[in-house]
Amino acid sequence: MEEGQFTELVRQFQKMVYRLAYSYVGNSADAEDILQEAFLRLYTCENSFDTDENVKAWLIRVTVNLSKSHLRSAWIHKRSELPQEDIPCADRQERELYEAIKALPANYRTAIYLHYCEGYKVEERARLLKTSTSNIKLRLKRGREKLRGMILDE
Amino acid sequence: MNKLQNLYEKINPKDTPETLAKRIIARSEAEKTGTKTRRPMRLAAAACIAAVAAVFFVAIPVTASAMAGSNILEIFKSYFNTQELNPVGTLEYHKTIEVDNKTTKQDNKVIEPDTNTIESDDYKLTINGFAADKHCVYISYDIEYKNPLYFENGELKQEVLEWSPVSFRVEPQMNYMPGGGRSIGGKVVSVDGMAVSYVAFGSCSNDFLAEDKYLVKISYSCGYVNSDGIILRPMENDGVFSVDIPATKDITLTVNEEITCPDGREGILNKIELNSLSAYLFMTTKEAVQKEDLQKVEVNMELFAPKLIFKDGTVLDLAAVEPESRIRGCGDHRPSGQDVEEYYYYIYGTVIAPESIEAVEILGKTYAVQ
Repeated sequence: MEEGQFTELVRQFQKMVYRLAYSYVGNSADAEDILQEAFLRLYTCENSFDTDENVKAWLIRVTVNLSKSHLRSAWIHKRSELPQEDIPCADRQERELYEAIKALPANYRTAIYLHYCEGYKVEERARLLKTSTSNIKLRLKRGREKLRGMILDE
Repeated sequence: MNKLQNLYEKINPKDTPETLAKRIIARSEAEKTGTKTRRPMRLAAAACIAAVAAVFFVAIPVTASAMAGSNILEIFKSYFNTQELNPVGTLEYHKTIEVDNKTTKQDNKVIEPDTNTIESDDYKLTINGFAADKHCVYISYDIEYKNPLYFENGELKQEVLEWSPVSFRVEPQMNYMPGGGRSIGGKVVSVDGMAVSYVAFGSCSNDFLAEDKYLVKISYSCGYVNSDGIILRPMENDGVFSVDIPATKDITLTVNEEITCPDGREGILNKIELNSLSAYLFMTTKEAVQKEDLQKVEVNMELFAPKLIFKDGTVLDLAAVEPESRIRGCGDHRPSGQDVEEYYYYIYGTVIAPESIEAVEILGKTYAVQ
């Protein structure tokens, strides 16, 4: 891939990939790693993509796969935890939402992120993540319920 | 859900796109350099390793303080709580150092079996040990650097020190090695007093020599990265290790994770992990298999399928299913973007009536338990 073309793709999708990874792994250090790994794979990838949408879909799959692998790594369970970073929240309500999101299981967070922030429909996400629509619907439903429950509890 | 969008808008990567792109391009180039010096795999052995899922574990801590009080070797040992770490075999070793693409030097050395440290002008490498089981080879090593290069106000400088006081920690990653290479990634978690960061990565491959021995090869490249993401000092090294394989370690059974089958049925995922990386999955429709009910789990190495032997004498042999009903995959050799589930060797099916374990249904076919 040409360097210029690659830089343009990074410019276009960097935030999306980072936020998706962050939604999965829940911290910036790991999300940065996954971000770099995903784009390295794109840079060295021999696939040709017809459209930027195809690149985006490919990146989403790779990012989710990398995030899953990362969370499954035994090292994750053995290492000393880094201090949790925070993001600046506008008000108490936003803080509660952030805390509730953080408390969700990773696959629910991802489902919610792809649905509400990237605007993917259920069928599109099922195709992207190579899973059934019923599974996607289930994750979204359970994610919403848990989120609602947690916010109400607070 | 605008609030959700607003929230995610605040989650942003540290690097600018240009910096990230530069870093990745530099890393890709360094990895290419690393690949050039790797020795070709033995063809005969390469044929064997298609059936072997090996995992390569590399730990690259530098100072104990950077590990927040934890000792990587202790962590490593605790992970392999049943095994001793013993440096074994001979490490053949050579390296190339490039400084800012201008200077190149080569250095070839051999680490004798009774030595596990090699010291060069630039760094000291200590092999802590190896651990391995039927599936995996793990290596732990420490590496210390001196005379780090860095940028200051756009100017390349070199800190000349006896040993660098720079404190950084590179997080190791575990890697599948089903017979091929895989990059080893790392990152800086903390750097004290210097505006530099560090990456370490490399690749490795293995030959399966015999029933109880692996030949493991490692190559890696390391370098300092300045704030613009430029690797200043890539290095590459190849090492060849011969590793004895100790007995298979204990398995872990994880249960009670709700999943949905491809056909929409909901159930409970049971996962057997041999080493947290080689996992076998199967699904129960009603309740999870309980670990305390299990006497032992044997693994059919040819089929990568587990046999569950329960204390009451029941046997659930997931290797008994027909090959076409088994979903298998392997490591990093999957095409990019392929579903991660295929990253693992696994069996995905439904155990019918788990309380009695009379049959197992996998992808719509029912198989009697032996």
